[in-house]
Amino acid sequence: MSQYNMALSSADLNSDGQPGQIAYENTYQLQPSSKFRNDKVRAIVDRILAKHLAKDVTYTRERGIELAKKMCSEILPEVKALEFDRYKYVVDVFVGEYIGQGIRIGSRAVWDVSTDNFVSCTFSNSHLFAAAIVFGVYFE
Amino acid sequence: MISAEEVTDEEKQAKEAERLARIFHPPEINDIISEVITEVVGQQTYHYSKVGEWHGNITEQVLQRLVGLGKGFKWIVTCVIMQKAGAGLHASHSCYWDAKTDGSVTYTYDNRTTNVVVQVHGVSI
Repeated sequence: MSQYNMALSSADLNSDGQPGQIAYENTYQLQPSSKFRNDKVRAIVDRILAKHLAKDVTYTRERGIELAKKMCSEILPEVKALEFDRYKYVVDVFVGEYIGQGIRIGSRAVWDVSTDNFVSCTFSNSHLFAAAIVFGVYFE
Repeated sequence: MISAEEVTDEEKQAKEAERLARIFHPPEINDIISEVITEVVGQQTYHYSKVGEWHGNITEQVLQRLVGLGKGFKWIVTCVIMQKAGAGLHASHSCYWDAKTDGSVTYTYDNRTTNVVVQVHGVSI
């Protein structure tokens, strides 16, 4: 009886008597039940880029700030709504003025290639460019 | 009955070190990025033929050193190298992850002709 009580108290309280961390059972799940689908995410990113960036849109500082924040904040909830199982997402959006300067944007990652993936889309006209990258990383 | 124990400074430091090993810790990552950029780009002038090489070297070396930290993290390194011509650049990111363990760092560097922005995202497994 006393051993059972001790087991209960050590699970629920840590040594200062404060509520401790809840211990979760194993899921025994090695692979996601629904994997990150590039085609579906690309459709979302393309649609949102096209919605905000018309062919003749020009660059101003305020517009650049607003576009970057808006596109970022719109892409994330739509990707979450696809409900891929146990995935974490990172959305990066770059918006810049184009005056003929050279620029290179790229990324590398160390992850599990069987579960994790990314989607990148770009837009450019004679005044500005935009690049959006969505990373989907499985939470093992 | 749980008895109170005296916790020494050493034990506190060991506990803190153990906690930091499990979470995303920006200062050590900032150090890694700044060392790599200074080594690869330094004060060199922007040239389109060198950018590919710089970009590859920066991302490769930052990634290798991050993996060398030995933490249980998946790392994503994004690098932007831009010629300084007075153009504006805006970067934003939004994330859906566990805020207690995961995090990101954005490091900017510039010399007379080049702007470099390196973003590191760390996602715990």
